[in-house]
Order: sequence, then C-alpha cells, then structure tokens
Amino acid sequence: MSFFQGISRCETLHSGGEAQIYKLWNGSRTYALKWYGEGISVDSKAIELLQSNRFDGVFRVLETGVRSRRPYMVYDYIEGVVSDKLSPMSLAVALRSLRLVVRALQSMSRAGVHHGDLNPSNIVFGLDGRPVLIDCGIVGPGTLAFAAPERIQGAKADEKSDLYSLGLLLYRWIAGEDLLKADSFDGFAEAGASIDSIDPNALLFGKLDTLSNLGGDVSCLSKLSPIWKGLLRVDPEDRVEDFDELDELLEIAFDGICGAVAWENENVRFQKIIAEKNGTDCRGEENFGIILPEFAEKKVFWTTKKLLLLSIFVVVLSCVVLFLVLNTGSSGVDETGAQMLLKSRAIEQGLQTESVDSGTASLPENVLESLPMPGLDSSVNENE
Amino acid sequence: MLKGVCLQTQLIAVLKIALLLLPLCFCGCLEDDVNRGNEALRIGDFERAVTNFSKALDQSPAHRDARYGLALAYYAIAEEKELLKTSTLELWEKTVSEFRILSKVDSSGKIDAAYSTSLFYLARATLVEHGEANVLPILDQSIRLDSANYFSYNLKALLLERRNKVEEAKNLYVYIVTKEPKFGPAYMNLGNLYWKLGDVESAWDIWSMGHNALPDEPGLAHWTQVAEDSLKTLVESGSL
Repeated sequence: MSFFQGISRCETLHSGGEAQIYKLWNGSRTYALKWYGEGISVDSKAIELLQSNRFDGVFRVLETGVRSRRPYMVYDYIEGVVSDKLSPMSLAVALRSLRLVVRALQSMSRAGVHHGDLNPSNIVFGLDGRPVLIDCGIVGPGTLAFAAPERIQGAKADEKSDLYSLGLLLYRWIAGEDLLKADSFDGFAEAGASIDSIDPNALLFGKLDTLSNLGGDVSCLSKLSPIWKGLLRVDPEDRVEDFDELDELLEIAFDGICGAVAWENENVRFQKIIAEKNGTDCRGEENFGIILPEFAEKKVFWTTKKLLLLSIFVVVLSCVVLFLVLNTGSSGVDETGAQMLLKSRAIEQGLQTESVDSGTASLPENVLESLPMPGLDSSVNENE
Repeated sequence: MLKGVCLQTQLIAVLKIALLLLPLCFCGCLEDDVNRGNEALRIGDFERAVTNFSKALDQSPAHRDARYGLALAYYAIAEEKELLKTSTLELWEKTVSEFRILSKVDSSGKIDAAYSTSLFYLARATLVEHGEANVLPILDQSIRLDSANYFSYNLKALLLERRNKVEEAKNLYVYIVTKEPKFGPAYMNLGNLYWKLGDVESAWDIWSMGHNALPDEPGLAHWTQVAEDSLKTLVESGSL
C-alpha cells in the first residue's frame, strides 16, 4: 500500500527554491515530506542505508521516490525547531549540540554514509533539546555557505568535508550568522579557498555585545581556537583526523567553558526557547489541505492499476476454473450417457420387434408361454 | 518499514492464492480420473472405465460425474451381456444401485432417462430369472422417472395382460401408440391381445395401423395379412 494512501491532512512548512517541506498527518502520527526541486538527485545507496538502519540523532527515512521528475523523501516529523531559528545560541549549548551531531555522523560514517549537506536547516532540535540530523544523501555540493572547498570543486562527500561543514555550522550557531557570505557560486568558492586566513574568534569578539546576552561565558571564546584550526582549513589534510578527534576537542572546550550545574541551567533555558518557538514554522491555516495532487493522483492511479491487475487475475482464474469445470466436468460424461441411451433404446426397440417376429416378444419364455402371440401358429389356428 | 509491511501483505496474498489453488490441484487429479473413465467409456473399454470412475469415487464418493460414469459403465457391460443372451440380473442390480446413489447427488433430472431404462432392464432381467416376480413397482418407478420410456409401459402392459387386467393393458398400449406411433411392439402386442380375445377384426385394425405406421416392419406386415386372411375366411364361413 502506498504511504500516501493513509494521509488525511497536509501542511506546508517551507517552500523554497531547492525544496518544499510539508507536514503530513496519518491518523495521530505525523511525517515530513521533503519534495526537492527538479534536477536534484539523491544518493540511493545512502537513502537505502537510512531506510534499513536506525542511527541515533539521525532522521528515519520511510519512503523515497520521484514525483513529476522531482525526488521526494518521507521521514518521521520531528517535533521541535530547525537550528537556524535558534541561533545565536550559547557556547555551551552549541558545543554540546555539536558533540551530539558528531556522534550521529560518526555512526553514519561507520556504515559508509556521509551527510554531504550539513547546514543549520538540516538540523532540527527536538523538544528535549537534542539535535536530529535530517536530509542526508543529497548528491552535489550541498549548501554553498557550508560546503567544503573540495565539495565545491566536485568531490564526493566524506568525513573530512563533513568536518569542515561542522566548523561553519558551529560558527553560525554561536554567531547567528554565516561565516562565509557570497552572492554566487564563484564567490563561495573564493571565500572557501581563503578560509585559512579567517579568524572566527576575532569575528566573534566583535560581536561580544550580542554574545554576552546568551548566558555563556564569552571570555572563553579563546577555547574554541583549536576547533576552528582543526576544522576550517582548505586542505582536508590540515583538518582534524576524524570525528573522534573533533569530539575530544569539543569536550575539552565544553569542559573549559561550562560546569555541570551551569550546563543544566543552560539546557533548561534552551529547551524553553525551543518550546516557545515550536510550531512557528506553520504559515497559517491557509496552508492546510489534503495531500498534494501529484501524490494523490499517483495514489489513485496506482490503486486503479492494482485493481485492474487484480481484476485481470480474477478473470483469468475464473476462466481456468470454468475451463476445468466445462472441459472435465459433467458435459463429457453427460454426453456419453446421452449417446449410450440413444443407442440403447434403438437396440431395445429392434430387439422387441425381432422377438415378436420370432414369437418370443420381449418377455422371458415362461412369461410368454402363457400369452397367445402372433408368432405361435397353434394359437392362430385355434382362433381360426 | 513500510516496504516490509507491503512485502508481508503481498506474501500473505500469495499464500492465500496458493491455498486457493491447492484444492484446484486436488480437483485436477480427481478430474483426470473422471476424464480417463469417460474416455474409456466412449471407446468401449468398460472395465477400465469402471476402474477409473471407482478410483475417483474413492477420493470423492459424492462426485456426480464419477458416479454417473460408473453407473453408465455398469450399464454398458450389462447391455453387452444382454446381446449375448446371458444372465444380466446381477449387473443390472449393480447398475440400478449406482443410479440410486447418483440420484441422491444429482436431482437435476439429467440422469432420469438412463436410470429409467436401467430399471426397465432390471425388471426384464428379473422376469427372465424369476418368471413370477412382481416387477410392476420397478416399472412404475421407471415410468415415473421417464414418462417417455415406452419400453416400461409396454412391459407393464404385458404383465397386466398376464394378470387378466385386459382393459388396463389395452389402455397402456393405446397410450403408447398415441404418444409414439412408431413404437412397433405396442401395435404387435395390442393386436395380439385382441386376437387372443377372438376379436380378429380389432386385431386386424391394430396390426394394419401399425403396418401403415411402420411399413418396413415385417412382423406387422405378416400378421396384418394373417388377420386379413382370417377375416376373409370368417366372412366366407358366415361367422362374421
């Protein structure tokens, strides 16, 4: 049965050039439908792995396909807020959240899947304050403002390119704005190529007024230096070795910035922000409706097709049964019986006639003996 | 997960179809035996027909075609024996027994004519071996099953005649020739009845009527002539 057959309601969450995102209701359960623009393709191997495996901190893909030449993906709707709506966030929250993202990426990487498009829009914070990665497996460089230089040059996503994107993501979370800004593909390529010369800490210190209101200890920004140096490098070889190493750097920075009690306070505060912003993705009641025509039409078509196939199967089966019944059933024996009866009665009539001729009629001798028959000359003579 | 559910649903559907097809395969084997029996019956291999129909009945005793086929096979064997003028009583008893069972699984009326004829044969075979046996109930059943079975009417009339129920016998003969003007034995027997009663004129009437209806029947032609000659003699002698 098609996934879309059970959908009773649909809400538009986001409508951009690259994709439209819808919230779907199937009874009391909710799902997200991301319908990409034409020309965008997904890595089928990665999607297959995401469908067949469950990774902590990564969205669960339920169905993928193509409608009107545009790929789509259905996954569990995550109740919460997209991370770009939560930035700037405190250093502690940013570091702690990034560690969780790193762990999710780590488990995916072990299965051979790399995200390839890490950006604030592809991380949703659940109501418990934990980040969930969405939208893996897109073929192409991904969002340019967060793409590693080698990705912009056409290389496939790997652990190193994801590490680079994580550096830019952390900056965005903390600063509330992108580190690299450009208007064109070439502009982003150029900005990315000069990333080694950029000192994020210097930029963050320039935003002290904003950052100091976030509850974190901005004086600890210097503890982020090893992270920037380990991630935001043009040459992949200059970046940290792997997610494990990054996790260690993040742990050190986090411990240097925030104690256990302080973190609890920060976390509670962050969850309150998420709760407040949760549901603000909705664009209003006018965006509610039934499932998109492209999906509904396909459903009807497919249902009709299935019904048609089922009907053909039933007709064929009926014909076979009818053939068996007619060909091997009563008609054969009935026909034989009718022929035998016809022959039998014809023979019997002849026999009786002959028997009269011979004076024995159709009765046994002892019966006939008591009856005067035309064949018996004596009886005729007697009558005469 | 959804794909898994779909796969499971499809698997269940396939299993259901397989379960539906299984009895069909069983029916197929059964039908093979019936087909073989029918084929044997058609070509006159009656013993093989009995074997095949019996095999099918072992699997499904209420199988209509198998039961009908078996009854017809016994019928054919018994009828062959009739031609040889050997004892057929036991065979007709078996045949009628099969038809009796068959009548319980087929009330469509399709088998009635053959069942009726079997009963006629049984009555006649019984009379051959036991001349004084009362076979009238058998003949009555035969007539009930097939009101166009004039052989049973004819034999019943002969038996009634034997019991001196002359008028009843006459009525039956008249009924036969009215319904089936080509049924020669009825003309012959009715003419004979009149002859026996000394009514040569009526005898001539009946035989000549039969002769007109069946001009190729030598017996009727012969006895029409005999009666005509007798009538002439009677007229000449002044007895008529």
